[in-house]
Amino acid sequence: MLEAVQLTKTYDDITAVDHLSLKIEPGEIFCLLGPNGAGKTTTINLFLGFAEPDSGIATVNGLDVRQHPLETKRHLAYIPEQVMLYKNLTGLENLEYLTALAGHDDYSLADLMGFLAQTDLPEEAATRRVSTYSKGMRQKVGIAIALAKRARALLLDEPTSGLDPSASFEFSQLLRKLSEQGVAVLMATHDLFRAIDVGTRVGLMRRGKLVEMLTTDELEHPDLERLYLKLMRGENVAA
Amino acid sequence: MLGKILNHEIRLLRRDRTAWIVLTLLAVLMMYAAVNGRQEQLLRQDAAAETMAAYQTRIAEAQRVAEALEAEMREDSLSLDTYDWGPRDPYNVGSSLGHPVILPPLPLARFAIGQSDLYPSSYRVSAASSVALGQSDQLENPFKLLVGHFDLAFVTLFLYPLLILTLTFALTAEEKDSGTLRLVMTQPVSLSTLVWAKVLSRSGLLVGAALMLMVVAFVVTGAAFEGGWDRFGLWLIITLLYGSFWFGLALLISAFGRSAATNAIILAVCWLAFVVILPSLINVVAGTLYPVPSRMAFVTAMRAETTVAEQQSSESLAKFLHDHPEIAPVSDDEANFAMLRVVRDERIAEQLAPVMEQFVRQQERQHEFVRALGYLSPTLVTHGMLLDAAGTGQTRYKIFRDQVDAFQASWQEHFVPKYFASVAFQSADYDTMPRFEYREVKLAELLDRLVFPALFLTLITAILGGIGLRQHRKYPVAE
Repeated sequence: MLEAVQLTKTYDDITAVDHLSLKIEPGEIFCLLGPNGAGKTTTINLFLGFAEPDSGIATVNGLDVRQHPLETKRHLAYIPEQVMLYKNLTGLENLEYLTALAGHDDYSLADLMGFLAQTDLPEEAATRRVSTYSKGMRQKVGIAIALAKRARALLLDEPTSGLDPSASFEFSQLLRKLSEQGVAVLMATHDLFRAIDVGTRVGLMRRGKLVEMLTTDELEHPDLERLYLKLMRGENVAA
Repeated sequence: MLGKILNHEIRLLRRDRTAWIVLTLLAVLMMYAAVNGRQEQLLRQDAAAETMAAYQTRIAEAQRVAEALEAEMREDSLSLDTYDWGPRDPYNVGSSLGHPVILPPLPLARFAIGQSDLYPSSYRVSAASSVALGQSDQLENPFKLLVGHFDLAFVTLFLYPLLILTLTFALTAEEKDSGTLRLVMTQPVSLSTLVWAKVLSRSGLLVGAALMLMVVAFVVTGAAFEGGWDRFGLWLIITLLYGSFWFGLALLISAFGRSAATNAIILAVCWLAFVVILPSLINVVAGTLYPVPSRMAFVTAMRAETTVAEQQSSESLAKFLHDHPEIAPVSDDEANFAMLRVVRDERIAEQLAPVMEQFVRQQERQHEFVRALGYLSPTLVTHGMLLDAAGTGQTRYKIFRDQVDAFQASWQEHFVPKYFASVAFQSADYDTMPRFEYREVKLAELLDRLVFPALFLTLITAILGGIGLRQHRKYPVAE
C-alpha cells in the first residue's frame, strides 16, 4: 500500500532521508522510531508530496506520489504531531470542511458527530470554536478527520503527543480496528511502549537511514529499548 | 471543489474581524470622499455659473444702454453707424467685456476633481489678448495634485489598494504559518485551486463592496439623476481592473512562500513605488529632460515686451498704417486707442511667439514622456483612465482647449475688422456675435482613448496572476 524505493531527500548539506526502502502492506502498522532529526517527518512529507525526493520514489497504492499528487492523496489520511485547525470555526465545522475536501460531502450531521464521538471528544466541545480547545482536543478532531476520510493508508506523525493516557489507549484501539479493516499505517513515534503495543513492525531510523527493522512479535519493550539506545549511540548490533 | 473552498473562505472572512474593519473603513472613506467631492464640485459649478451670470448681466445691461442711446439717436436723426464710445464701441464688447468660455462639468466630476485646478475650466476670450497666454499649466506632480483633493479617485487610487493588501498579504502564508495548510494539502486539492478561491472570495468581497459603494455614492450625491451612466459604467470597470491588478500582484508575491510579514513588507514597497515614488520620479525626470521655461520668466518677458510695445505704439501704428494702406487713419481718439491696442497686442504676440512656442512644445514633450512612462505604474495608468471617464482629465480638457482656440479665432475675426473700420457696435450686433458652446466628446472617442490602457492593465494582471498561480505549484507546504 505504501512503498518507498531508494528514497533520498537532502536539505542543503543534510541528508534527511538516505536511500530509504520500505514497504507497508494493507493491515500493517509500521512504527518508525528514531531521535529527532532522524528523518521520520521527512519520510512522511515525501509520501504526502510536501517534499520532492532527490532520487527514488514513494508510491501510494502503486501510484507515484510525484506524478499523481492529487490521486495519491485520496488514499492517504494524515495526523500531524500538532493538529492545527481553523480557530474561528468549531471542531465540527473543521471536520465538515476537511472531509468535504476529501470528497465526502455526503456525511450527515450525525455521521460527523459519530466520528468525533469515536475519538472521545466531549459532545459540547464539538460546537465550540477551536480557539477554546486544548492540544489534546485538537488532536482528537485531527483523528476524526482521518477516520472520516476512510483512507486506505494512514500517516501518523507523533499522533498521540498531548493526549492523556486514556485517550492514547483509545487511539491504539482505534488503530487496531483500522488495521483489521485493511488500512496500512505508517506511524512516526518516540513512544517505544506504544510501538510494541500496537505496531506489527518497527523500523529504527538514524540519520536518514533505516538501520533496523523488526517484527513486534519477537520483541519485548526492554529489548527494544536496549537496541534503540545502542543503535542511536552508533554501535552496530546484531539483533 | 472551488465552490466548497469558496464557501469556507467566505465563512472564515465573515468570522474574521479584519474583514469587517476593512469593509467599514472602505465605506467610511468612500462616503466621505463622495460627499467631499460633491462639495468641491458644487463650489466650482457655482463659480462657473456666477461668472456666466455676471457676464450675461453685463452684456444685457450694455445692450440695453446701447438700445437707449440708439433710440435717442433716431430721434436726433443720426446714423446708427456713427462710432461712439461705451456700449456701442466694438472694442468695449470684443475686448473689455470679452466672452467667458466654460467647460461644463460632467456629473461624474464629483468623483474626480482631478486636475481641474491645473487645467482651468473657464477663460475669458477677448479679441485683444490671446488666450494662449493663459495656457500656463505647468506639469505638476500628480501625487501632490491628488493629495489636494479627497475625492473618490483619491480613495480608489491610494487607499483601496492598501485595503486590498491588508486582506491579501497573507493569502497562503496565513494558513502555512498557522499550520492548517498541511491538513488541507493532505486532501486531494491543488494549492492553485485553494489560493484561487482565496483570491476570488477576497476580491468578491472587497472589489464588490467598492463597486457597490460607488453606486451608492453615484445615487446619493445626485449624479445618477444628472445622467452619465455610460461614463459611470466605465468608471466601475476601471475600478474593477485596478483592484484586480493588486490582487494579481498579491497572488504573485504570495507564491514565493515567504512569511506573511515578509509579504506585507514587499507589497507595501510595491504600493509605495507604484503609487508614490514612480509618479513623482517620472515627473521630475520629465521636467529635467524637457524643461519648460518658467512661468515667471515668461510673465516677465511678456511685461517687458508690453512696455516696449506701448512706448513704441505711435511709431508702430504709423508703421502699421504704412503697411496697411487700405486702413485709413481715424481721428477719433477712442477708435485710435482700439487700433493701438490691436497693433500692440499683435507686436507682443509676435515677439513672444518663439518663447510661447518653446513653452508649448516642451510641455507637449513632457506630457508625451509622462504618458509613455506612466505605463510603469498601474496607478498612473488608472489615474488617467479615471479622470478621462469623469471628464476631468487631459482628453476632455484638450478638446475644450481646441474649441476655445477656434472660438478665439472666430471672435477676433468678428471684432478686429470692426475696430479698424471704426464703426459702431449696434445693439442688434449683440445678438449676432459669436457664442461659445462646448461640444461634448463622443463616447466612442472616449472608448478609443481607454481601450489601450485598459487592455494593458488587464494583460499585466493576467500575467501576474498567471505566474502566481503556476508558481504556487512549487509552494513549500512543509519546510
